[in-house]
Amino acid sequence: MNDIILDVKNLKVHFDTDDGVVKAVDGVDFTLRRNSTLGIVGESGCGKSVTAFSILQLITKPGHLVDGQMLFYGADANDSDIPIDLAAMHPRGSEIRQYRGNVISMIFQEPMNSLSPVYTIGQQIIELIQEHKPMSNQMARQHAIEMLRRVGIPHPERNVDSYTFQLSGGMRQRAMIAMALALNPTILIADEPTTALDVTTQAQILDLMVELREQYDSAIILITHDLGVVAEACDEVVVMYLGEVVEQADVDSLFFDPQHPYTQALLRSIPNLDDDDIGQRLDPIEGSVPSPFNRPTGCLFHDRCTEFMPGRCDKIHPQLRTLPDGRRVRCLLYDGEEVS
Amino acid sequence: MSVSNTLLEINDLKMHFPIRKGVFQQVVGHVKAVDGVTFSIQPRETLGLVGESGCGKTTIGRCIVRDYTPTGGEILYHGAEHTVDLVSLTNKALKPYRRQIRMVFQDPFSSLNPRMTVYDILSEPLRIQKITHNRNELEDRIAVLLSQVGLRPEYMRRYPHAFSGGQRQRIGIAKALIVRPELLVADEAVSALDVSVRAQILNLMKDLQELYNLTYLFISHDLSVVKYLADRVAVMYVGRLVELAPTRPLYRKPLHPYTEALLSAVPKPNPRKRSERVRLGGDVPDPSNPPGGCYFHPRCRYVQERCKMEAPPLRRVGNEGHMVACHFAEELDLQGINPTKQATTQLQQE
Repeated sequence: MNDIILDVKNLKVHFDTDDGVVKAVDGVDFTLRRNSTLGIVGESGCGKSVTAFSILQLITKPGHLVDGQMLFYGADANDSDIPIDLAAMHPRGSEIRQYRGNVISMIFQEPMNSLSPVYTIGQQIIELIQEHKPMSNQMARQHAIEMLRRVGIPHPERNVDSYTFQLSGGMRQRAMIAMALALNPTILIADEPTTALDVTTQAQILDLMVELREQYDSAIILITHDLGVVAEACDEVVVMYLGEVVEQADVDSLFFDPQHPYTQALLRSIPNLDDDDIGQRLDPIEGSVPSPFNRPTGCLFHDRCTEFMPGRCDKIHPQLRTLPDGRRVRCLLYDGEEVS
Repeated sequence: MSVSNTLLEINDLKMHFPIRKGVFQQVVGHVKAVDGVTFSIQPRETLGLVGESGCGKTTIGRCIVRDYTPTGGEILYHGAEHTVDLVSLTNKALKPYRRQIRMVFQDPFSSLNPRMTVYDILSEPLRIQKITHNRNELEDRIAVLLSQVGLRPEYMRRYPHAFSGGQRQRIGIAKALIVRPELLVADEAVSALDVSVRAQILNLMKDLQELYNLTYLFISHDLSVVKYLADRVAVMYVGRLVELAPTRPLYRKPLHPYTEALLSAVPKPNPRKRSERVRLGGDVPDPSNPPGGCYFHPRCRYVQERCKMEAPPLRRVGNEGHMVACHFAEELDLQGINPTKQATTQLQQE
């Protein structure tokens, strides 16, 4: 049995706008292992959400998939060594629809906007279940109530008939998670699931996701801008900058031995809760994220980088390389095998 | 507390919003957004005000800049000449104080008028306050301030859309500073920014405080950010202060169970520290219908019978200027952030 469940290779998603082509995702490679949580981090505009949406072929116009493969090794329970390529499916075809919400499901950032306000949460979960499984109304309703109970919504028999506006933000996000897990997906994609929530609620939701992953044997892709959330909930991490993966490593190595200068700078710049630096200055990354219409030549990070090598970094665009210990880095400072 | 070393004194501030229902818009209840809050701010100090959404922290900020007229209590501003109660002043009488107390807003995208250039945005307060109408002088002042907030003076002719989020927040700060205020109310001023830019803006705020002898009320939901700026921190829960203390004692040894839970809930960028969590169940109560006794008792790990009956007052505990609203503050042994090894040895040496 293959340990890898999703292998994304050289993914490119471009948006054709009036002002030019925005290369929102331009060469993303990562692998997702079974029963693990992969974090994708980066600042706004780095393409992390577009990556998530493209896995389910949910890119809307003017965006389109330009290149790449998304090999999914879980289509057939008996023979999972033969992958299917999600990128090859038609975004509006019936084929991808069998996977959406069923085998691969998604939790969105803003539960108020991603759940319908005119149907009860029960109706929305039941619709999803019946879309994919032949189940009677009564059975589907029972299943929905059971899911709501599992995600910790109080009085699920009553709340199954609630509308979204009758629930608090944390409860809404729980309902969203219940819906995403209703059909026991193989992969759960969570796009900033806790960003709109308060810290105490965020801690509850993160605990819940970790707990449910163990129960359901799913793999999670957790998209976030918050390195604290990554440290709390992920096993592996992909760091993105301007549409590219710059580093992939296990969570411990990433925080204690970051390789790419961007990862290092990011870790220096974030506030933490250690005691030493009360009232101290933070160490920011100079400059700001470049405009997508005006991407730097060579390495995309070279003009903000502390390790900038003139004549090399501004000329040569580095490839993502696999280091001997299995980590991947996109930087001229490191030697290793190119990720094809 | 002597009057001379206080800039702003807030006594028993109340802001109750009426809930109206029906054809005749009858008042059927009140949302007690702020319900009896008392604190003071010293000159050149940064007071952090922390709490979850809906706790009333923004409402306090808006009362201080008199965006809202509080329904009770007083806001005493100790100006250079005399002391005034901002609550009782009319709009006209408030005008000079609108120059001395300024606000920085959260969202740098919606708080700048997209149809005004940076020059228009920054010169407007100067013209309204009748400080100067002379174009050359206006340009000079704006150019100096722009370079102080880290923007090029040439940018003055540009419109807000030409700037990134971090640059816009710099303009927002410049807009507040252009009239040389005493007190800046920063409401979630860095929350909408990316991590790398957030650090730049926090450092900028520190530098400007030094340069202009500013006093900050720094409102935020993020305890990990507040600690870089604040000298003292006030923690709010459902319209009331639950704890107020100098930054280090508050983080190291919180006395209120809510502060402990908040500190523990902040995700820490350290994958080796995952396990040590205080879980806080439940949701923030509805401020129009809060629970009896201590508002925090339904979520508190240490709840006792007394907490359900009797609301604890904010009282002084210990001698570090630590104020807390909990019946059992002395008995509980709460967990703060652990001092690192380096800090522990330093403490022992002292």
